[in-house]
Amino acid sequence: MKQLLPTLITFFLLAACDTSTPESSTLESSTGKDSAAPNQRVSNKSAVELSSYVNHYLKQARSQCASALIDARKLDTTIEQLLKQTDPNHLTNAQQMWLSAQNSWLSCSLYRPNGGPLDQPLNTDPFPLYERIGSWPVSAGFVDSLPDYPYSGIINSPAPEITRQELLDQHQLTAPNEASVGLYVIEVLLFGSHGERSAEDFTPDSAEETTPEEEQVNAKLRRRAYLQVSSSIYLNDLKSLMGQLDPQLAVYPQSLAKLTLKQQHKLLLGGLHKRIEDIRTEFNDIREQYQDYPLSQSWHQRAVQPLKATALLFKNKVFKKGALADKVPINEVLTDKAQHQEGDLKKQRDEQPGELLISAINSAEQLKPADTENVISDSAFEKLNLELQALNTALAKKLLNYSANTITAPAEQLHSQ
Amino acid sequence: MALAIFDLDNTLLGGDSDHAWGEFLVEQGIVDAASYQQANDRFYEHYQQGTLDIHEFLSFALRPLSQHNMDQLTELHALFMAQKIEPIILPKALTLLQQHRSQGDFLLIITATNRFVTAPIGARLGIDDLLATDPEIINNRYTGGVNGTPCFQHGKVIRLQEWLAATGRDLAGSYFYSDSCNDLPLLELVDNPVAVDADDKLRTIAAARNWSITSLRDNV
Repeated sequence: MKQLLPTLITFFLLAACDTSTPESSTLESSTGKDSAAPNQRVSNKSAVELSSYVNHYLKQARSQCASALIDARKLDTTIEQLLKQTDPNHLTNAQQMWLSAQNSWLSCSLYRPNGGPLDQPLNTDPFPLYERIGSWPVSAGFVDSLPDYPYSGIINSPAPEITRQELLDQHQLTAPNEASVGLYVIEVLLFGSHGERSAEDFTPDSAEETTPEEEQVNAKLRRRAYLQVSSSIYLNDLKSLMGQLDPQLAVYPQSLAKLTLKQQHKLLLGGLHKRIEDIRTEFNDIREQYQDYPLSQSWHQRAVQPLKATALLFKNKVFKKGALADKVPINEVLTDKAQHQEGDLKKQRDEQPGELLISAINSAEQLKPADTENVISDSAFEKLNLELQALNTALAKKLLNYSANTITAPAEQLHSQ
Repeated sequence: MALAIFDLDNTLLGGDSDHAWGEFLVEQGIVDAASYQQANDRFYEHYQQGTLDIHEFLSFALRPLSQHNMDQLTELHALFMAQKIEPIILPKALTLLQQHRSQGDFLLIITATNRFVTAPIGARLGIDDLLATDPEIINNRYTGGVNGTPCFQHGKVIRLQEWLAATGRDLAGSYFYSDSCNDLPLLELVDNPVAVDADDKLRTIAAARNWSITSLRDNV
């Protein structure tokens, strides 16, 4: 994989060059050992400012990942406590911890697509790491029993064995939603498919109570083992992700450093743009079928948390009001200089992505299902849809200083890998 | 389930990785032996006395990084790990890290030594995250300058507070293990300060404040 990553980055940057400036099509010098390429016509001051953004981005990515890892450890500990003492209190503790773990994972999930570790497979996996950590939505019946199908799922089958490798081998084997590992599989195990989980579901029956047939598929024992193994996989995957974001040791930050600053900027901001567009698309899907997702009923966090993580990125000085337009060497990075006459720039500075972002976060918060009724007005979904659309338009125009099409192109290429 | 924070040099390691890196450069003939060794020793003495000018030291220590490309530095560091670091990794430190790992704690090293020297050491020790003085990199080369706040004395507190803000965490139940009086600002901040093979000044303060005092050296 270490050899694959620079190749992938180069690949989609090459693809991006179709709509980019002629100067950015010369990649040989920019991906070589000395990236102070002669075609990179940015001043030292600007180079430092752009470099500052990339550093900030990587630092934030690692911080959000650290946060997810901290919660994964806590979740693992509460699960261990639950399995030691299976009572309602310990189950509630584990469920509450799962909700926290979900929030921190979703913040971490902002950092793709960007050619980084979340977009790459681990070892020989046929899917990227984010599909292993946070595959969603998952088919609950693939994992465990459903109210109308008490014997469904891996839990109620004699095979596969509940081991790390067997579960990984089953993951998304037949369909993307047939997930056997990841945070949302842990959710099914902890909450049940419709929130029906009780502590007794983890209490092994005494030998006298089980018949030989039940012993063949002891669902409670399998559920205990499954919960333990899937929590361990989740924890180790986040630990691996942390390692892959190490600014000193990992391939990805070093591969980024070998790109020209302009290419780095384009890659990371293009990824941010694509991620927000993905949230918008996902919530348009959720809008049609949100009542099918009754598990912990916290799916609104799928928008809230990544948008909050975006707000942390906005704290960087590069993103402050007018800063990018004022400090970045506009003539050097524009793909279509004609679009950015002085008057247009002034107008764009007035559209504040920060304000749009706050509105979008508030609108996403409003989608939290009520405790008693799982009914949300269509207009609430539409409000979020329009705000995310406006946010991305503002990002493309004001912050990226590229045309929206140009910015989207590399991310789409990456996403299709 | 808390934050377990560790100083690195003379705490988890039975020596100082920053000073050892300087010695290594001298042994490899990368820097002028006489002048570099003398300066390296003088800075180390100031550090131990708590009188180090961190900016002056960093200007000295990071200069060799700017004179080599990344590939050369990576090769040098691999040799440095084998020759200088592996022999000073303390078995009891590995046990201590494992104890915290087993109780679900998040393992964080916070060190004044720069990230180039310490990141591979942190990875070797299996820690979760590292806060270190960050050498500036522009165009895939070290410049010899520093990026952000040097992770030294009160700078460790600043860097930790930034990290806590970014991760949304707090210091409830936290530990900090250190050998040095330079780390007093951070030791005073955590719930469980621990003096490890401490210098005289820290040992006195730790005893007066009833802090835990321990050793990770086999022969103590």
